[in-house]
Amino acid sequence: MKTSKISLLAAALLVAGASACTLKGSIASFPGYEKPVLLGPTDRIGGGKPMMCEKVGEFEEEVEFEVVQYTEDHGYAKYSVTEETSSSPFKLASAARTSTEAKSDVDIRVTDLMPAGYVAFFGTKAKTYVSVEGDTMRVKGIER
Amino acid sequence: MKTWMKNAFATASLAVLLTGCSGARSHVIADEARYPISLSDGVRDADGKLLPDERKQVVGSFTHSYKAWGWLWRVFSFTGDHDISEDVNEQVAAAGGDAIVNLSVKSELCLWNMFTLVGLLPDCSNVSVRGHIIKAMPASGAQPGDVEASAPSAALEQAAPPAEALAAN
Repeated sequence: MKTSKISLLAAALLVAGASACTLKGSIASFPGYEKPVLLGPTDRIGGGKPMMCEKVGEFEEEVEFEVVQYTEDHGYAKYSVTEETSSSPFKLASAARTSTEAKSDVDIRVTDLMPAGYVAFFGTKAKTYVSVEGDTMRVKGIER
Repeated sequence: MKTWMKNAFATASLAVLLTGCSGARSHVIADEARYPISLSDGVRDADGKLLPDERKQVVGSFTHSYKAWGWLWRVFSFTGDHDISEDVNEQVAAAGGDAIVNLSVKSELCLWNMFTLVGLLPDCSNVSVRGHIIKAMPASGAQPGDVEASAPSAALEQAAPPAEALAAN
């Protein structure tokens, strides 16, 4: 009897874990945003000496995808509920527009690009996210 | 090992065990990339001006995937910084491109999450990096084969303002 309960618990945990693993991912991108969001030292085509820039602000945002599973007991019936929450695919682009005021001479230089994920409470909560941190830099000598 | 250390480790282990937490994180870097990498549509031409859409020609796709490993939720990252520079330089050069735009980074949990429910084992996440490799087409009037017009380095020398002049502004 005891063994069968342990087996059931193990099976339940595996199901929860498996469902967490089928989670969709979170994607960091800036679709439709026309100004550079640069990763790495090369700031223009052809490379060469970096352009002169002045830091005018900072950028920090993240996109996430989260799944939470729980059971609702209504007395006459029990429901297994799965809630999914995800960021808008345009979240980063929108934040970038706000951060740079959409000026054509302001770039974002990414200083930290961190993809991550975790499961908690034995797979009943799972989350993936990508955080983007950077500096907003005004490029000198460029027409606005 | 001192008693208090044993107790602290046991308490931390029990806490992780009870919450069944695990996870992983990493940091994508490209410190040695020779080409501009943009997470947006935007990239600057050799003269520093934004490259207009009509001059961007997609010549390939950039792809790079890896597994990030960590331990104790995300407290310890075994992967740490993950440098994509080498792949960037190789793939852009192979495609004959000038830059990468629309770079996206996708984070997913991996199958191993199933086996680390106790939280004490290392855990991983799958990371996919994708982007468009583009070539800067010559400005209107010039042909793609026109070496002088299409060479970014040549354009840089002619059009880019000297650093001193930029600093003076």
